Amino acid sequence: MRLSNPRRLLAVLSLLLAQLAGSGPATADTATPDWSLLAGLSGKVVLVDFWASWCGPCLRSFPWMNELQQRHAGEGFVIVAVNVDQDRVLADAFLKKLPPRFRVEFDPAGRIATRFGVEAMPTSFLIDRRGQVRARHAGFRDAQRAPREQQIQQLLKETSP
Amino acid sequence: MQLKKPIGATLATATCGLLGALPSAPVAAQESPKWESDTSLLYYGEDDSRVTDASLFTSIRRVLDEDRSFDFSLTVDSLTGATPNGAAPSSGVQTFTNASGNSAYIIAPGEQPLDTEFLDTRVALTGNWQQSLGEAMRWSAGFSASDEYDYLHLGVQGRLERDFNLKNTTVYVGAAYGKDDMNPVGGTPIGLAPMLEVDNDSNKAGDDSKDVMDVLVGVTQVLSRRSLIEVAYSYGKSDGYLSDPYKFLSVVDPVTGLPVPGPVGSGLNRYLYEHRPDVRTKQSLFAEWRHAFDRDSMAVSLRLMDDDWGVTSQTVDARYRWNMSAASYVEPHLRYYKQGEADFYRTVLFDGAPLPEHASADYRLADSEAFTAGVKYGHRMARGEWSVRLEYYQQTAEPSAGSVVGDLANHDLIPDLNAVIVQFGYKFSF
Amino acid sequence: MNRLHPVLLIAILAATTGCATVQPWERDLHAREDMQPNQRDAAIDDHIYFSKEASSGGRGFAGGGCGCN
Repeated sequence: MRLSNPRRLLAVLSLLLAQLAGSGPATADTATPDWSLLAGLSGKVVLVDFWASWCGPCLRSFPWMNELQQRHAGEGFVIVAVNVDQDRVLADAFLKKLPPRFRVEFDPAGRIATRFGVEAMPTSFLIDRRGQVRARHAGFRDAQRAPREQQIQQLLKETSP
Repeated sequence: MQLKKPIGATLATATCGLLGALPSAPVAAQESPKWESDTSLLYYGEDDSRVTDASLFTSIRRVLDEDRSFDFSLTVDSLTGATPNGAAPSSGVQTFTNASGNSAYIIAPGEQPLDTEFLDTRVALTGNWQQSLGEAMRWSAGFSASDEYDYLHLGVQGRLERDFNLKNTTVYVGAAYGKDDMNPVGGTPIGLAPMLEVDNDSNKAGDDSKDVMDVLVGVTQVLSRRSLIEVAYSYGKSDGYLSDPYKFLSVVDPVTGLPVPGPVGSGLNRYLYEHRPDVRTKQSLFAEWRHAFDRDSMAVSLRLMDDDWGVTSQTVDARYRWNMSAASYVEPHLRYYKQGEADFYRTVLFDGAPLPEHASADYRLADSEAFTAGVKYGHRMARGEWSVRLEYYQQTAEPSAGSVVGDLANHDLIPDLNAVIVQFGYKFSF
Repeated sequence: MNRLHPVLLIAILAATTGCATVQPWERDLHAREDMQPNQRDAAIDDHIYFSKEASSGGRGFAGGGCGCN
C-alpha cells in the first residue's frame, strides 16, 4: 500500500491552522469613538453606520435607515452613514441608486472605522443623548429592524442632561 | 457523464458539488434576491466517433433570510457514441459478445475496439440546506441521488465552516457518504473470467454495489487586500464493486502480439473481464491562490492526488479574468493534468504469464497527460448574466511497460483523445 | 503522497506567515464577483474530467468574499 502517512499531513495542516487562528484580531483602538464626527450632535440620539458599495447587507439597510430618519428626525434622531469605499466613484453610484435622506461621510482610508473599532461590515453604533455608545450591531438582518427601532425609540425618550 | 461507471461519477461529483457550496456572503451589492437560478447547457464531443455528451445543469436557490437558504439542483446527461472496450487493436478481425450477452459485434482489422452500444441518460438531483450558527459559523446538510439504467446512487453530505480573525481565516470540514447500486446489463462479470459466446452468462454474476465515503478539511486565508489562498486536504474511501463491468483485457501471444484463442466452443479470442481491487483509498491536497488586480483577477490552483491503486496525479489550473467593462468579461483558461498509471493497469495480458490478481486495460488508469485550453465570455444584462465557454481538451496516454510486442507495434494502442467542450450558461435572481 | 507535497505545505506556511489582517472595510476587492470561486464551472469541469481521468474533486468553496454579515 503506497499511501503516505495521512497523520503527518494532518499534523502539518493543524500547525498551519493554529498559526492562522493565532494571527490575532484587529489592532484598532476599539475603545474610543471618533467624537469629531459627532461634533454639534450633543443632545441627539445618533446612529453611526459604516457601509460600503460592495456590501450586500448595506444595500438592504439603506431603505430602512431612510425610513428611520424620516420617522424620528423631529425627535432628535440623526443618522451618520460613514462610507469606507476605496473608490469614491463606486460609493457615488450606490448613492445614486439609493438616495439617502441622512448625512453621509466618506472615510476611504478607514481612519474613522479604525477609531470606532469596526469589526464587521456593516457595523452601526447607537449613541445616546449624552454621547455614550449604548449598542453596537454587526451585520444587517431584516429580523432585527423592529427590535433596533424600539431600542432607538427608548433612547429618544431619555432626556438630554 | 458516466462512461459506464463504477467510476460512478455521482458521488464524487456530488461531493465536489456539496463539499463545495456554502454561500459565504452576497458578493456585489444588489437588491436582496429571494431566488437565484443558474442553468448551463453543456456539449462535449470527442473526435473519431467516440463519446458525445449533452448535459443540462440547473439549480434554484431560495434565500429565506440572511442566515438560511436551501437549494436544489438537477443534472441531466445524455451520452451517445462509442468507448474503448479495453481490448487491444489487432491486425486480425475481432469478435466480441456485447454487454447484455445477446449479440456479437465485429471489429475490422486495425480498427480500434470500441463498444458502440453506448447510449445512456442519467438524471441527478441534489438538495441542500444552509444555515448560520451565530456570527462566525455556518453549517449545511444535503442529499444527492442519481439514476441511469444500470446505476443508482444515493448519498448524504454535511459541512461546517467557521471564521476566525475578522473573517480573514475560514476553516471548513465536510463529509459525504454514498451508496451506489449497479445492475449492469447482462450481469456483473466475474473478475478475470473469459468472455463467452452469445447467450452464455456463466461468467456473470448478479447486481453489485459500493460504498463511498469522503472527508474534506480546508482553510481559506486572506493574505492581503488583493489576494487569498485556499488549501484543502481530502480523503476518500470506496468499498465494493469498483471494476467497470463493460471492460476487459486482450490476452495476446508474448512474441507475436496477436490474440490467442478463447474458451473452447466460444469462437472468440481470449478476453478477460477486468478486475480492480474492491477497496480504493485516495488522498488529495489542493491549493488555490486568487488575486485581484484593480480591474482583472486571476486564479491558479494545484492539486496533488495519491491513492492505494498506485495512481498519482498532478493538476495545474490557471484562469485570468479580463473584466472588459462593468458588463462583460473574457476569461482564458489553461489546465494541465498528469497521471501515473495504476499498479494493476495492463494494456494487454500475455498468454502463459501468471495471471495477476487485479488487472484493467481502461486507458483512464494509464500513464497520461492532458491539456485543456479554453476561453469564456460573459455578459451581464439588466436581468441576469449569460456566458459561453469554449474549451479544447487533449489527452495522450502511454501503454503499460512491455506491452508493445509483435503485431501490437503496428497499431495505436491508446489513440489520443481530442474533445471540444461548449457550454452556455444563464443565471438570474428574482 | 508525491514528493512534492512537503514542499507545497512549507510554501503555504511561508506564505501565510507574511499575511497581515485585512480589516473588514478593506474587503472591497475580495467582495468582487470574479474573486469568488465559480462553483458551477468547477462542478462541470469535475463532471467532465471524472469520466476521463482517475482523479476527482479535492476542493472546498468557503471563505473569502466580502465577509459581510
